[in-house]
Amino acid sequence: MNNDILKVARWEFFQNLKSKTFLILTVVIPIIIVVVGFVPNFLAFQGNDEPVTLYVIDQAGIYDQLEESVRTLNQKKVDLKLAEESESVLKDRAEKKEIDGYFVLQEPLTHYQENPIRIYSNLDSRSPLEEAGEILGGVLTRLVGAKSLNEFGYDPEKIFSLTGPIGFTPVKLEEETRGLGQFILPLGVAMMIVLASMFQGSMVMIGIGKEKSNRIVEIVLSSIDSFDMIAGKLLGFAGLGLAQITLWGGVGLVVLTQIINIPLGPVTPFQGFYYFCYFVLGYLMIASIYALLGASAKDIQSGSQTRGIFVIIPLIPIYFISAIINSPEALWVKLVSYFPPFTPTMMLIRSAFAGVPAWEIILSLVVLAGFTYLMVRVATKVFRVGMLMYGKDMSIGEMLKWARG
Amino acid sequence: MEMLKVNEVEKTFKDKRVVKKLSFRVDRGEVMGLLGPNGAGKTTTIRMIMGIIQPDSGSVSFLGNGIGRGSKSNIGYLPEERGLYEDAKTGDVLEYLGTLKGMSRQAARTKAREWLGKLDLSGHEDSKISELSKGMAQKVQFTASVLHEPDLAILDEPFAGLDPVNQDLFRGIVKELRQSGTTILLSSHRMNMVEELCERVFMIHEGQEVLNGDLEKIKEEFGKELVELKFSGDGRMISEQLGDRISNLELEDGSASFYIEKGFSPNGFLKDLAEAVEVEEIKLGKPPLHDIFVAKARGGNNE
Repeated sequence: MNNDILKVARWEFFQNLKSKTFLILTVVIPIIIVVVGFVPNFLAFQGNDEPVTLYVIDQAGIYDQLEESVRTLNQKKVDLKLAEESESVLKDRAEKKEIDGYFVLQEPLTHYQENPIRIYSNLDSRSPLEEAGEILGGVLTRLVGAKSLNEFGYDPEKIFSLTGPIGFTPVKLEEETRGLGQFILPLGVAMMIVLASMFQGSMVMIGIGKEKSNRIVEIVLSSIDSFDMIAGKLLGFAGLGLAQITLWGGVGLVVLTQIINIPLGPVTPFQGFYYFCYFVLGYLMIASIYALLGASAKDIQSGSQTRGIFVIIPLIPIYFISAIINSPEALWVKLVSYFPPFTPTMMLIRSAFAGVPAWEIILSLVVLAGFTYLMVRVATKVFRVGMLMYGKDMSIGEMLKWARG
Repeated sequence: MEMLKVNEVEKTFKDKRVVKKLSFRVDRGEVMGLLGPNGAGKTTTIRMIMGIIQPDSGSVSFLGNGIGRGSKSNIGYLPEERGLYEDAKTGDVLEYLGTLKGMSRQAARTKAREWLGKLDLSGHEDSKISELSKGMAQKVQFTASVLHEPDLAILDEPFAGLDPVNQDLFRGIVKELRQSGTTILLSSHRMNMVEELCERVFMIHEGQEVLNGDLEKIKEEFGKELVELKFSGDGRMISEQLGDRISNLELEDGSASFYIEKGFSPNGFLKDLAEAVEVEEIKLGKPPLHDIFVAKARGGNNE
């Protein structure tokens, strides 16, 4: 590689590595993701830790068996207490939230009673009561069933073992050989391409815009070629992106494997290679789009709405993720994967949910590399002209004209 | 020996031809002035020399070769429009710009320290550019253009925005560079500086050459002599007595200056002048570059 590209890349890497913007993005973004992604679930789990305590008004004389059966289930959703107060007192206490709730077991307790047993409660959340109801329903069904079978002279255990439910569960053959890493890693890389390139891309755009407006560009271009300057900038930012992904990915892997205890399974060297290539090329491609926008804007604050359209193009596959998951091998998915702005995210999502042949991966990488090179060339040409245009945004028509010229 | 050769370069932006078939050369070891009023096409010409923009036609060669990576590292450039990386440290910026010119990081750092000392900026190596005054930043940018000891330095308005003390400092440094063998192409509107520093000048107006050559010769060829005199009496009598033989008469209390056509008859002139005023002192000299510039920029020759 040209030495001048490396000099520019080194400068951009270290200058931006020390910048507050980069440090904030690198540290704060993962914290926000963790907070947004995990904390609500964590809090939800925390809220469910305490079992609901329900008082039982036992008119059916089954409380002892019920309590014992519930206790032996060793669950943490519901505790039972035998009511020693009248129903009106319990109702009053439940209304004041002094107790979680109560229910009445009426005599006769049969399978064919018309109405379900009601749990009276004033708790804000309905779901712990529903869970308690499911557990109690299962236990009571079995107890009442056993009692009836005994009355008819049958052995309940034998009957239950003969009439137990037969279940079905789908098992995908390929899943047997694919670890969780086959899903999580490519999806994680796809997500990081989008995140890192959006943040770094805007830094590229601002950097090029700044260089144009503060005229340092004349000194740089009096020393090196404009292609080397743009390519070096993008490479420097790719290095920053890799530093970010290493940090984010490293933290993510530690959280997944050590804290949440999800085994990722083996990743082959080829998979590692193409995850890396999709990241670097995908990142460079998106950054080069931003570079083009920076080169054509009159200043760093500028950026018309039409420019915004370019920026969201690489994000489009994310909106189609459920369609891709449902049919990762559909023809339209395969075709769209070769549209370069979509390639890295599409291919990574596909490889997470279906086996993608090696030739398709290689071909898509070649297409992506070619397109990225072309974008850098176009950005360079537009930059050369754009840097001499003062106080005026370059129109898309002009951009195309100069890109061709 | 010819160091830089600009051969019939042309440049058009949209429908406007801003540079029209310009040709000139800069010889090794000389300081050449590139002059012209605002908008004459000087900066565009310099950008074409530096390879920042390409001429539509014509060519630029440096030491016999086209402008490319090799030649760029042997040319220093101080652009008219100043700008540096605001958030970076002075030492880091100079090191980076030095490496882009082919220096090692260590050598660039050492040279930067030397130059900062020479320009009264010792101790500012770790200051951010944004913390420097405008004049200080200009010194840093000047340093960036000569740090790598180029054979040719192109300085576009190096004195603009400087206070008189720093103008003197820069003038001294330009002289030092010339003495050390650096060839300099100097673009400036400060005619006194150009006159003091340059052996030859090339002047353009509306993209075209209007003057080219040895400064002394240009003054010779201007076709007029500058007369400066001290007198007593009524100065208005000078123009009445000498009529259209003189031009650009400027009168002050007891002194006057004007141009007289070359080849005038000294006897007749002195006789007529003595009839107008009592002459106390008279000096005959060559016209200052400033007046030649103004005459050319106005499209005439004061003839």
